[in-house]
Amino acid sequence: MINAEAFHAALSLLGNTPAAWLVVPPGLIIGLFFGSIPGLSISIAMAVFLPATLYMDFLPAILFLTAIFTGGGFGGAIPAIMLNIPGTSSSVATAFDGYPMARRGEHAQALGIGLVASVLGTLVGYLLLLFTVQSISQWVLRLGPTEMLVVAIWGVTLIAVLNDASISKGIAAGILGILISTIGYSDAGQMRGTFGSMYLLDGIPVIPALIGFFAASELFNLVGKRYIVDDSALRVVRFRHILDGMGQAASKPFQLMRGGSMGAVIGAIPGVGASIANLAAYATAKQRSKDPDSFGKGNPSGLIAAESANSSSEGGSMITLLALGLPGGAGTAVLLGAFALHNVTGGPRFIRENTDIVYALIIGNMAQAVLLLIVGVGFIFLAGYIVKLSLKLMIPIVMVLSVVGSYAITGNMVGPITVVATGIIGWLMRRYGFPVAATVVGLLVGGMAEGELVRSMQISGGNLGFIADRPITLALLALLLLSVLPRVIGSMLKRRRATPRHSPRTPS
Amino acid sequence: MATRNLTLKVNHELFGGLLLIGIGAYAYYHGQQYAFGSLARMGPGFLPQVLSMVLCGIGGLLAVTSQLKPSSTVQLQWGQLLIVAASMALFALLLRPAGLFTAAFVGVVISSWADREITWPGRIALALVVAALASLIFIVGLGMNMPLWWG
Repeated sequence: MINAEAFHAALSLLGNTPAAWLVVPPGLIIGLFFGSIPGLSISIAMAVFLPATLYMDFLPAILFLTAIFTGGGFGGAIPAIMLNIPGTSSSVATAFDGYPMARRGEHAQALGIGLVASVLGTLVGYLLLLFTVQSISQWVLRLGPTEMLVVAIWGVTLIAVLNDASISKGIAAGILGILISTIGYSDAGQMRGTFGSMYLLDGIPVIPALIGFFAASELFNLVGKRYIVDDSALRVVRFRHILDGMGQAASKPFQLMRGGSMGAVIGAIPGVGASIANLAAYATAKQRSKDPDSFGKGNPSGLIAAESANSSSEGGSMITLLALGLPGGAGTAVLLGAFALHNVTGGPRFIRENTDIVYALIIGNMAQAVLLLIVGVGFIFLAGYIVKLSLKLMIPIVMVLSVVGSYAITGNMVGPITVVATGIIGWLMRRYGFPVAATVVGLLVGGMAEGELVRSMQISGGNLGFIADRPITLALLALLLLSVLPRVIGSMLKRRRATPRHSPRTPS
Repeated sequence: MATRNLTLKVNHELFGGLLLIGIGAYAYYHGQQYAFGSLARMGPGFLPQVLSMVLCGIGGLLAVTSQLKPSSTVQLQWGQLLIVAASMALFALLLRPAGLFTAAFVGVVISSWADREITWPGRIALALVVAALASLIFIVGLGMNMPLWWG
C-alpha cells in the first residue's frame, strides 16, 4: 500500500525544505481570515494568493495553498457558530448545532469542538489518501484516451449538474469554459480564436482567468452588499472553555471517524466536495443518533459530524486531483492551476515518478492539521472581532491582490485585463444563476479533453462503435450516467414546482 | 383560461438564454474559418463549432422554458460593477509607471467610491494601509520586480 522507500525520501525531502514549513503558518492564518469573514470564501483566498506561489518551489507552493484550504475549512465554522452565518458553503451544517450552542453561551466550547473535528477530519482524509494513492495510480495507468475523455467529461458534467443551478445552465457553463480553452494554439498546432492578437497566442491565461472567475466576480457582487450582523454582544472566550470543547470532541472518536471517512469518500467524487459532505455527514449523524430530536438544538455530535466531514473532504478531493488531474471543486481547481504554474501535470505518471513528492505533500498536510490545532486556538480568541470585520475592508485587499498577482503571472497587462474581463463574465453568470466553477473546470480540462477526443477518434477511425470494445470506457460511461441520473430525475420531478431560492451564497 | 397571455415574460432565464444564443452564434461564426475536418481527422474547427451549436441549443431551451416561469425584475447594479472594474483597470495601468504603492493607493480610493458610507479620513487610511500591505507582501516578501514609487 505504501512505498516505504518513497516514504523515507518524502520525510527527508520535507526535512530539507525549510521553505515548505515557513509558508504553512501564514497560509493557515490567511485561510482562517478569509474563511471567517462572511461573504468571502476559501476559493477567493486560494485564487488571489495563487500568484504568490510563482516564486516558490512546487512543494512549498502546494503546501501553502493547502494550508489556506485547511485553515479556511475551520475558519468558515467561526461565523457559523458565532453568528449563524456560514462563512463558506462547506460550513452550512456547522451552524445547525453550533449556533444554538453559542446562544446557550457555549460558543468557546463549540469552537473547541469544531477545531478538534476539523483537525482530525483533515488527518482522516489525508490518511486515506496516503494508503490509496499508490493503488489508485496503478489502476488509473490502464486508462487510455477514450477512458480519459470520459473521465474529463464526467468531471465537467458532475460539477455542472451537482449544483444549485439548473442542469442546462450548469452544462452551458461547462461548455463555455471548454470554448474559452480552445483559444490559442490547438493541440495540433493551429491558431484559433486569437482575433489576430499576439497576446492570445498562448490562449487565455488560466490563472488570471481563475482569479477573475472566482475572486473578481465575487468582488463585483459583494460591493454594496452588507452582511447584517445583528449580534452586537462581544463574547468572552476563556481558554478553559475551549479546552473543555476540545475534550468533548476527543471523547467521541467514533463520530469523528464516521464524519471523517464520509467526508473523504464524498470529497473524492468530482463536483461534490465539502459543501455536500458536511450536510450528508450531519444527516447521517442525526439518523443514527439515539436522540435525533436534540439535533439542531445544540447537540455537539452534529457539530462534530459537519466539521469532520468538511475537513476530510479536502484529502478526498486530492485523490481525484492527483490520480486523474481532475479538480473536484473550486479549491482543487486552484490547486490544478498551481500545478500548471509549476509545469506539473497531475495523473498516474506524476504519482509514479514523483511518489516521494506526493507522500511529502500528504505528510506535510497532516503536519498542517496538527499546526492548525495550535494556530486555531489562538485564532479563536480573536474570532469575536474578526467575524465583525467589515467586508468593505476586505474588498480593496482582494482587488489589489488579484491585480498585482495576475500582473506578476503574465508580466504584462494581459493578466489584469483577463481578470477584469472574466470577472465581469463571472459576475453576469452568477447573476443569471450559472455555476462559475463549471466554467473554470471546463477551462482547465478543456485542452486535455480535446486532445483525448482527437486521439480517440484517430484510433477508432471515426467509428463511434469502437467504444463497445473498450469495457473500461463502457463502465465509466455507465458510472457517469448513474451519477448524473438521480439529479436529472430529481429536477424533472421538481420542474413544475416554482422554487424561488434565496440562498445568500452559491457554492463556488 | 380562454385568454392566453401572449406578452413576453422577462426574467433571468430569458436573459441567460439569449446571452447563450448570442455567445454560441458568435463562436460558431468565428469558428467557421477553421477546418472542421472529419470524425477520424478532426480539424481545429471541430470542437469549437460543435460546442457552440450545443450552446445555442441550450440557450434556446432556456429561453423557451423561461416563458413557463413568472416574470421577475432583472436588476443589474452596473454602477458598482463599473466603479470596481474601472479602479482595477486603472490600478493595473498605473502599476508600471507610478509604482505599486501609488497605484494601489489610487485604486483603493476609487474603488471605495462604491461604498457610500465611508468617510474621507477612513478612505485615505484604508488606502494607505492596503497600499503598504501590498508593497510589503509583493516587493519585500516575494521580491517581485516592480517599482514601489513614482519614477
